[in-house]
This record gives sequence, structure tokens and C-alpha cells, in this order.
Amino acid sequence: MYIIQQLINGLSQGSIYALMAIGYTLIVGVVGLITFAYGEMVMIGAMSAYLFYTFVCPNFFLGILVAFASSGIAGIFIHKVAYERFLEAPKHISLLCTVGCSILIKNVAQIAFGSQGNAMPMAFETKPFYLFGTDLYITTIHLAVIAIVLILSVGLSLFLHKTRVGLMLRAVSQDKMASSLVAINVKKVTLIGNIVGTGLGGVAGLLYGTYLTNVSTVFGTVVGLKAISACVLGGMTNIPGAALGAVLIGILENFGIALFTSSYRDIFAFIFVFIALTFRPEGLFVFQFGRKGKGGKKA
Amino acid sequence: MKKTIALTLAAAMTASVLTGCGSGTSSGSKSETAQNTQADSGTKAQEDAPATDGEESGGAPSGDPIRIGGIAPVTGDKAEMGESFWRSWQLAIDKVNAEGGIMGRPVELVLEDSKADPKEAVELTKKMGDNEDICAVLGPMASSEAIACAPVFEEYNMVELSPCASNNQYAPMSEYAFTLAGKMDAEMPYLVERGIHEYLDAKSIAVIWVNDDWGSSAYQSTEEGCSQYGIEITDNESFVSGEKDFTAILTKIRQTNPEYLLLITQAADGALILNQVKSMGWEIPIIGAGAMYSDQVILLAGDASENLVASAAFFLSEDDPVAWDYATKFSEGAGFYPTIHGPLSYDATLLLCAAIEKAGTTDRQAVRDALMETTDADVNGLLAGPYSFTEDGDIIRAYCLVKIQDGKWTRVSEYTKCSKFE
Repeated sequence: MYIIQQLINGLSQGSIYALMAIGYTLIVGVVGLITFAYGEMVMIGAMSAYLFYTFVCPNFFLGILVAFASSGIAGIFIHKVAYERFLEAPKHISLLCTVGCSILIKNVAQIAFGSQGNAMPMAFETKPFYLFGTDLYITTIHLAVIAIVLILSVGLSLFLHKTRVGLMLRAVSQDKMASSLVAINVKKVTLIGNIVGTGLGGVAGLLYGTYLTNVSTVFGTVVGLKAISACVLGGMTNIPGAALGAVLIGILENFGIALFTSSYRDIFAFIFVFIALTFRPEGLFVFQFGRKGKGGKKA
Repeated sequence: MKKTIALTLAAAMTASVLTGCGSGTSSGSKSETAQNTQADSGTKAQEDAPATDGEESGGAPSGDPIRIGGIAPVTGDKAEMGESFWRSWQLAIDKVNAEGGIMGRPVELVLEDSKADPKEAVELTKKMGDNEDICAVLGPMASSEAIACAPVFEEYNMVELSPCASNNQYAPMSEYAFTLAGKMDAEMPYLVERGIHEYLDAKSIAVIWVNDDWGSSAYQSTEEGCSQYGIEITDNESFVSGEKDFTAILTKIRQTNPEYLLLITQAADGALILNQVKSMGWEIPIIGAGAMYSDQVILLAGDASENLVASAAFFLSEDDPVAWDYATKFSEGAGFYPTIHGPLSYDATLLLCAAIEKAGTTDRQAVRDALMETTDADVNGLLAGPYSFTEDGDIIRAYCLVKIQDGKWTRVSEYTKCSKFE
């Protein structure tokens, strides 16, 4: 009973990690860019939703739009500064630029809003639903988180596989040179990919803030790391793999705490990633059949 | 193209350098003060504090001023806490001057900025020690600074009166080391005995504690107290500062079905836990250790904080005209109401001034000896007494219980000590 409860907790926390990991994989794996500013995108989404809730209205769906839009705009900024001119240059130049962007964004946010925690206004009533007349419960926050993550994942998958832009994105991911030869505007497509990726990070930030009931300008960094490990676990280019990896990390963290102590939270997650990568360096959910071309070797 | 890279990187680096030194809570105006604190922080404090020079009542003090040193973090990420110190020192000195000064001479605060850095504090101590005009020093703030400075103060035979260094090791270090914080190992026994055992009559509790020096020693005293009064600890869970998601440990604790939940956490972490307890639909009464007595808890947790019980060394209320007058003056300058650190700093200044008056001289050793003898009986207008120093130079404080009712902290018991220290 108790273990199942921890499983539910882990599932909803893992779902938030999954959303971040999906966005991150989209940027790193699919578009082929490297970013160290992803945690700040999560923070921007959370903070802008917090400001929107506080000063305009606490509406959950509008909040999601605001979070997506503001992190997407920050994504444009990062694209202009760190990627646009360096698409053909060695990757470490973009990488260093994103490190700079991350420091800049974090500190500007701290100057503007301080580093203290802020109470996240609740857009909907938080209450538990007891399952099958037992002690097991799932809260409205858990439900909202899992539902939004599922909807966005399916939406992203449709976007990538059923639309023309999605097709272009995947083409650019495989070979930028060949894509431009068939008249794909590489700059524009990477920009779109980056906006969608950072926007998803922003929504994850809003969900994380709602889940914790608290947002601050400094809470992005650690969760950004979780997104990176989930992405690596999933095999860098594999979006469903990254999502699965993230859910696994969430569940393992909760089981780790259930069995030992919360002081070691991050150890469980990272030891798991370490072991998984020792035995499957190509990623937990990458299998040898199918394409193992440029995408697999990237980053 | 190279120009753009260079510009971007330069912008990013400048931003990080600018904010790096004031990291965290400091705002623009505080960064400005960083550049000129070394030179004229003393005068700055005087300008900022509400001027009371015009309304002296007990005959204007005249002659050479008596100089008291002050070491506090004026800038840096502890700047907001530091403001509680220097603003309160200045308010107390204004009061003393308004009442005629010490031995008819005006008192002057010489403020230096330690940035809450022990290394910096030691250098400042030496600087003050070499300045023969300074007869005693208020501060530094944190235990780590106070402990680092204690040997230096001993060299100069000068009083080190820290308002809130609560580490048990500090005061016994030298005969010049004093603190008003009260021994750290007195508050948890108080909360367990007077609060959990007598006030709430709890039979079982579960404890969540932050895994640092303060948290672990507080948990230890809780464990000892509980075994003494036959209170069962159904589960204890520690976490590292920075943890945000407590769902897993709360689920774990809920399994053990305790009667009360005790939080040994800082206010912000505690507020997170209160919220998360509420959102999982768990109705359990919650008790907070001393650090939870803060308006921040109400601000961050709202409804979820209702009925929280905590211990407090000082309760600020409008019913106490002396304290309320001080708090109003303080908030006029600072923009926020003081926590416990402000009143302790204020009281430390008044006690020190009384000691100098008693010594009748600014000789450092004489001031130290007089301070040892000074109690709350010698001073009018103290806020968080009673005070009498133990042989070590610290005090054993009385506490009271406070509770959040209708979104406001209310005092629910008289100031008492736990039976061990009575």
C-alpha cells in the first residue's frame, strides 16, 4: 500500500522531469544544439506564471500559455545570442555562450525579483482523491501534472511526425548541409525547435512550481541537471526514451527516500544514471536496429 | 562576428561579476553601499537611522564622544539580517544620547562591514583593536564569525558582545566573549517540556529536521527530552537544506501515524512542508522549532499555517508599548519589522552603554568587568530581557509559546524556562 503511494508520488514527480527532459532532448538531440541554460528556462516559466497568477488572474490554462510563451521568448534570445551565428562553428562556442546566458539570466532575475521563495497562488483547489476506498490517494496537483505532461508529449509527437515543420526539424537534425540543399531554412527551423523546447521547459517550470507550491529565481539549476541526466539516460536523441528515463528517475528518487533518507535524494538518481550508463553507454532505451547514423553519435 | 561574441561574453561576465558580490537578496541600492562602506559606513548608519538628535531630554551630551565598534554584514547576501543589527544599534545609541549620553558624553557607533565573512570579521577586529578610541565592540553576527574573532578580542582585552551567536562553544572561549542569544541547548528542551509535553500533552510525535549543525543538535535535544517525558518519536526524517519536495518523506511519516508533527526547519522550508501536508489532505497539528516563528511562514503557507505552534525568545506585539515603539521606528527606516535579531541587538547596545556608565571609564578591561556585573535591573527600556550573564558570558533565556491564529502570531503562554534551568 505504502509502496504504491510512493509510486504515485514518484510518477507525478517523474512526469515533471519528463516534460523537462522532452524539451531538452528536442533541443539537444533533435535540433542538435547544446544548452546549459535550460534550468533558467524552467525558472523563467515558473516565475512568469507566478507573476501572471499574482497580478492578472490565477487561471491554470492561461498560466500554461504564459509560461510557454515567456520561456519561448527567452529561447529566441538564446538562439540569437548563442546559436544563430555559430551553427557551422565548433559546438563548444555555443556551449560557452549558453553558460554565459544562464549566469546572466539567473542574476538579472535575482536583481529584479530577489532570491527568496514565493508562495505560488493555486489556480485550482488542491485536494486528495482516495482510490477504491483505501488509504491510497492521488491529489488534484498530481492529476493535473500527469494530464498536462501526457497531452504535451502526444502533441509534440504529432508535431514532429505529422507536420511539415516537424519533418524539417527531423531533417535538420540528421544533416544540416543536406537540409539546406533541399531548400530548408536551417536557421529558421532550429529557431522553431529551440522555441518549442524551451517553451516546454517553461511549462514544466509552472508545473513544478505548482507541485511544490513555491517558486523562486534560483530553483532551476538542480532540476535542469535532472533533465540532462534523463536525456542522457534516454539516449540523447530519443524523445520517448528521455521521458521514460525521467519517470524512472522520479520513481527511483521516491523509493530511495522511502527506504533510506531524503538527505540522499540526488544520490539515488545519479547513481542510477551512472550504473545505467556504465552498462549501456548508448542510452537505456536505444536499440541497435533502426537508424544509428549521425544522430546517435551526436553530443 | 568576433565582435559580437566578445560583446556577448563581456556582457555576461560583467553581469555575473556585478551580482556575484551581492549575491541573492541584495538589491541595487545595497550594491551601491558596497563601494563606500569601508570608508564611511559609520556615518551612513547615522544618516539612515531616524534622527532623534533634536529631541534630547536629559541635557545634551557634550565633549569627546565615546566610541563603540559595530561589526555587521552591511552588504552581501546576509545584508537584510545585518540591517537588523546596525539599525537597532543606532536606534539604541540614539536613545542613550537623547537621555544624556554616557557620563555626559555622547555615544558614537563606528560601524564596519564584515559581509558575514569570518576572515573579514577578524581583520575588522584587528582594525578596531588598534583604534584606541573604541572601548568595546558589538557583533559580529554569526557564530562562525564570533568564534573566529574571539581570540583576537582577547588579545586586545576588548569586549565582544554578539547579539545572536548561539553556538554553545562561543561564549566559553574567552572572558571577553559575550552573547545574548541564549544557549542553543536551552530552547529545544523548553519546547519539548513546556510546549509538546505540557501545553499540547502529546503522546507521540514525528520529526522532520534539517541536516545541518543547528538541526542535528536540536534533534538530539528533542530526542533526549522526549525520552524523559515518555513521548514516542514514531519517525524522524532528515533532509538537506535546498530540498523542495517533501511528499516522499511525508508519505513515509504518515504511515507511522503520529499525533503531532515537529518541524526543525528554517521558516521557508517549513512553509513548503506545511503547504505539502495540506495538499496531500493530511490533517495533522504541526509544531515548529524556534526558527519557524517568522511572518514568512504565514506569507508563504497562508491557510496551511493556521494553528502552527512554535517557541519564541521574543514576541513582538502592539500591547508592549516600549517594544512596539522600537519596532515602528525600525520599520520606518528598514521597511520591514524586525525579527528576534533586532531586539537582541538593541538590548545589547543598552546593556553595553550601562556597563560603560557603571565602569565610569572607557578602559577596555574595566568595561568588560562592569558588563559581567550588568543585569536587566541596571537598564531601562530593554525589549527581550531578563538578562544576567553566566560565568561564561552567555545567558539562559526564557521563552514563550506562540501560535498562528486567524493568520496572525499570538502569544499563548508566559515567558518561562524549562525546569532544567530554573
